[in-house]
This record gives sequence, C-alpha cells and structure tokens, in this order.
Amino acid sequence: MPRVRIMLWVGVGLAALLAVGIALRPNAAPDTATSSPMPAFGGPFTLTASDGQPFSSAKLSGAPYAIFFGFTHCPDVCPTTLARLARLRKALGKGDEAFAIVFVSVDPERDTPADMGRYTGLFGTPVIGLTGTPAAIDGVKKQYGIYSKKVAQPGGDYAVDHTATVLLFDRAGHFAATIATDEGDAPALDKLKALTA
Amino acid sequence: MRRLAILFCALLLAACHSAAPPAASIDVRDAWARETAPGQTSGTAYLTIVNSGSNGDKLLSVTTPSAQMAMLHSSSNTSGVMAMRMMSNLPIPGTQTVTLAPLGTHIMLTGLTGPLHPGDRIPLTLHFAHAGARQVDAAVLAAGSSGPAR
Repeated sequence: MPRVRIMLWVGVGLAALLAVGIALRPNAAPDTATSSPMPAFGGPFTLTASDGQPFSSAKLSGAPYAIFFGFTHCPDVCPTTLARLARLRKALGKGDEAFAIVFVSVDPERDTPADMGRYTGLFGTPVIGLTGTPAAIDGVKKQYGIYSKKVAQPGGDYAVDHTATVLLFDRAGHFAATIATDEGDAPALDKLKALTA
Repeated sequence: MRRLAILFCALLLAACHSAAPPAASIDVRDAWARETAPGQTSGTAYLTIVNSGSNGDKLLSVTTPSAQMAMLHSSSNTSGVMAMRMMSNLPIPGTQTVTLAPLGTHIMLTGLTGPLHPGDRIPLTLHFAHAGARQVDAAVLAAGSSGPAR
C-alpha cells in the first residue's frame, strides 16, 4: 500500500514538472529572430564540405551568400546556373568576397564531397560545394523550401528534378531575394548590387 | 508567238522545279560541349540546325564515340522547378533554324569516355529522317562559358 502511494506522488511530481516545462517553453528556446512572428527561412545547418570536413552554416555569417541546389550529374541547368553566378559576381566588380556562392547537392547518394569539389572547381572562382547524409540534405531542403525528385532515365540512370531558383541571403543571414532561372542578367545584377551595398 | 511564250514559261517552271532540292537542306553549325570535371560521367552538347529547304525534317538521334549514349533532352521550367526529359525526336520545320542551347533543348551525353577539356573537339553524328547522317565536331568550351562567340 505505501508503494502505491509513493508511485502516485511520483506521478504528481512528473505532471507538475511537465506543466512547468510547457509553461516555460516559449522563453526557454527563444528564436534567433525574436522580432519576427514567422519561423526563420534558411539555416542553421551542418553539412559536409568538399574536403570531407563538417561545414557549419555559421561560416556563411558576416557576408551575403547565393545558395543554389543541384547535383553533379546535372549537365545543363546546374553548370549553366553556376557559370552565370560566377559571371554575375565578376560583373559586380566587388571581388570574390562580395558574396559567397553555395552549391548544395540534392543527390547525396551519388555526390561525394570529392565529386562536389571537382565540380565546383570548374568555374574558375570560389564556389562552396556541400553534400551530406540523405537525412541532413532533406533537412536543409526543408529549411530552404527546395523541392527535388528523382526521375528514371534510360539505361538505369536517373536525373533529379529540382528547384533551380537561386536564393539570396544578406549579411545577417536573412532571406533577401531570388534569382529565377529564366530571369535576365540585368535584374539579377541589380539584386546582387542591393545585396552587397 | 503566244504559243512560244507559253512554252517558255513552262520551261522556266520546269527549270525552277528541278533546281529546288527535293530533300530538306540541313546545315549544322556552332556545335559546342561544356567542360566536365574528372569523374563526371555526363555532359552536354549544344548546336544550331539550319533548314534552308522548304521541307521539314526531323533529328532522330545523335551518336558519338566520346560517350556511351547521346540523348536528345529538353530542360523545362515549371514554377522554378527544372526538369529534364528525353525527346524521341526533334522536328526541324522547313526554312527554320532550331537552336539547342543551355536551359532548353540539348544533347545529353552519358557514360563519357573521359573528361571533356577546353580545346578538345568531340565528333557528333546527327541522324536526320530525310537529310541522313551529318557529322560535326563540337568544340569543348570552359565550364563557365555561355556558348561560342558569334
């Protein structure tokens, strides 16, 4: 009989703790953007850099960045977009430090860190190539609102349909603008000027 | 005199008719491919097809010794999502120019026999329904390039 009473009191104690926890929760985990009622769009994340080391999104803070999702077996849209970003950064005339170009794989099963390094190394300008575990990539895709889907190709291969819009983030890490695939270079350059002003 | 004029006109018509080629006149130009990284197994080639004839033609397939497979592909944009799909053929209407270019119709090369380096030339054979086989060398341009200088 005393054992039952002890168990009941333990139950009451746990319930009280839970109630206190729920009451304190909004203050216990404050959002980084406390002024905004909306959840933050974008990071924080940890993926894998082309040297195989963990890459924290904290490394992107302090400078604007342009982030684009794709895959290294993508021979048309991805190199065209990366080549364009490299060209626009050159046209901006503020050097490679003006904004970072980040390329994240939506095909982590095939894209190794080394693959990302070789691919991003093609454009004659620094490009941060990131891959990771499928779970980590899924998480980052959600954070950035990226859709992707594997599509079978003849010969047993596959391609990946994916959001190809470039997302621009400012120095504070806040979402600033997009560059659409079919957008002209002139408005894209205007956005980059504003981003790096 | 009148009979002679009719005969002249008939001859003229016959001459014009025999001068016009019965098949489509296909010219392939500005072929280029994008540089690839070591280990990268797929690449793309782009080119321009000019049909100066009045009859339509169709590009049925492309072959190359530089890759296991060359496929006609189209990239399409649906609300920001880019998708790549194989095309069974590419119509080349009469008197039209069809350009294969980045973010649109392209020749996808899979199973590259080696990396494509700037300055390389890769042979492509285009198989047309009427014009038959046409060979062209695609110049490999730097990955950062947006196409050949015109």
